[in-house]
Amino acid sequence: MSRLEARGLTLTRGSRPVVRDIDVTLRTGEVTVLLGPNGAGKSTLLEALCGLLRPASGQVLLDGGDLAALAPAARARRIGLLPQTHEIAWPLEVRILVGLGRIPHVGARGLSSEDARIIDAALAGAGAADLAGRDASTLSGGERARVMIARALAGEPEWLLADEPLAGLDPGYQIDAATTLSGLARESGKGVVLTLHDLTLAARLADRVLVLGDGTLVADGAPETALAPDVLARAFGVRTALRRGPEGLSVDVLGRA
Amino acid sequence: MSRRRLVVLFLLALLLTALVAASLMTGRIPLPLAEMATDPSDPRWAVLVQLRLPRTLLAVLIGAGLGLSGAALQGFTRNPLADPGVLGVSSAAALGAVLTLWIPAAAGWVQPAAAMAGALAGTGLLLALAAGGSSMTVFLLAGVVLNTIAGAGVALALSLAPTPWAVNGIIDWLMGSLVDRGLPETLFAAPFILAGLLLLSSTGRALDALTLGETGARSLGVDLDRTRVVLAAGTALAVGAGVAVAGVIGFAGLVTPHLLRPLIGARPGGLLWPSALGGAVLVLAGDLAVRLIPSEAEVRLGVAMACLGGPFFLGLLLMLRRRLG
Repeated sequence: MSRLEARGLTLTRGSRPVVRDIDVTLRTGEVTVLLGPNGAGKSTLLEALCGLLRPASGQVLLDGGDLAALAPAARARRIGLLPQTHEIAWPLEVRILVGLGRIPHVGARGLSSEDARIIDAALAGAGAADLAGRDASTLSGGERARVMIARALAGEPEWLLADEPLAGLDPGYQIDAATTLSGLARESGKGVVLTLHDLTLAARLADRVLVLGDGTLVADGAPETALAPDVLARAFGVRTALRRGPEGLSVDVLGRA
Repeated sequence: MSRRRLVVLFLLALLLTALVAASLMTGRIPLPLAEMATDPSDPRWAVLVQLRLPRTLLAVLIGAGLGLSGAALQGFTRNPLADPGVLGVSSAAALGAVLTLWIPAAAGWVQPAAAMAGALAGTGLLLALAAGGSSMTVFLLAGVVLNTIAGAGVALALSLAPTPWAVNGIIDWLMGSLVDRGLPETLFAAPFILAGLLLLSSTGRALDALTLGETGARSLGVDLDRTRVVLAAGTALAVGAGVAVAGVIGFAGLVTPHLLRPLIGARPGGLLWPSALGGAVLVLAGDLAVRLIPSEAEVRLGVAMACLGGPFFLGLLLMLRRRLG
């Protein structure tokens, strides 16, 4: 089992403080969902947790060692990031695009048949197998999101940090991708950290929910406690009802608090 | 490596070989090899070895440098209009070289070294401006600015030149030509251009990763600062050394990757070596063409490339108009 920790983590964008003095320990084998209103610092925190943003103070530890001390390639093999914006600069074939996820492992050599197998599995896991031969510049937003999930899966990281991975997916593909991501944590024992905006999806997918409000952690715990109406009122300024039905938890947003 | 890429590389190599043979045989003095072979002291051997061969090699090297640096700059900036000429790197190199006019009795290496230093300063400035995800527009404008500043500097240096006869020589050189470049010039430029080619070709994986943007590339373990330094140094060596010896030859860097993308795909790392070969083919073909055009004085290669490249650039802009807007 691996641990990813933030200790006294303060992050800034330019001179603006975004996240202040956060302490949290994440574990593999769990799906951790990071929630928070727009501009709360979710993406910034994810970037710092995968070592791409130098903390203004505090540090990020991977299994007790400072993440900043790890060489970029070694870090990339252990922690993968799926950024929120799906930039694809060139009209690459989808299979080649997904193969970019293998870069931390292959270095300068070409892709082997083992890499090809992993790429196929990643495409299938993201529900994008049918897109493999397409030109990535012709994809729709939702297709692009699936392909980018496949790209992240292809790196087979121990930790997958995904920023809004389910945004833009239709309900069917949303379920498929959520199943793949939770399987990654619960069956393959990887660490999965997601930011989401859909509260019900968060309630059903998460083992643990972190709620970020105004740069600090407002709540940290199981969905039942972290998605309680008083927490969501404080973080988002909305009235909600947390219901437990036969299909699991759901959160209804009733109105402004 | 895809089979398609191998086939294209092979065909380009074949084409380049044919052009090299044609280049060795083309010029004012006909070289009947069969006749010359019987007499090793035939003075026409000197034409082949001391004039045609260096000129041909130089065209290949300069073309490879332009093609590879164009492909690498386009990959790094994710901008299909990037090119050492368009972005002012060549002009910066020319400015560096022109400034050595003021050094009295400068040693032979000073002017080329100054050209490479100018190219390095220019590329460094551009890549610094491109850091932090600035838009394609900002980047192109930075190239326009660099081109303008370097052009103004060259014009100023020329108008204040210490000796009028030096000005003629400089203008002649600025237009870009391989006429009368001999073995010494070729041997001087070759190691720098080759070093530049090696540096640039080592950035393939990083350029591939940059397809996913700067955050995406860094999350894949790419060290962008290192890539930027390698790219700036490689471009400065490959383009600067070429400018130092042959003046400003433009557009091969812009055009080559565009001609290759439909054939072998757009993966930036996969375009590097094919673009080196393609650039060599293009510049050598251009140099061959200016030798074949029946005119009183030979058309300058730089001018000929600009005449071909300008309309191509315009066409490209029209195609990209929507994306840039």
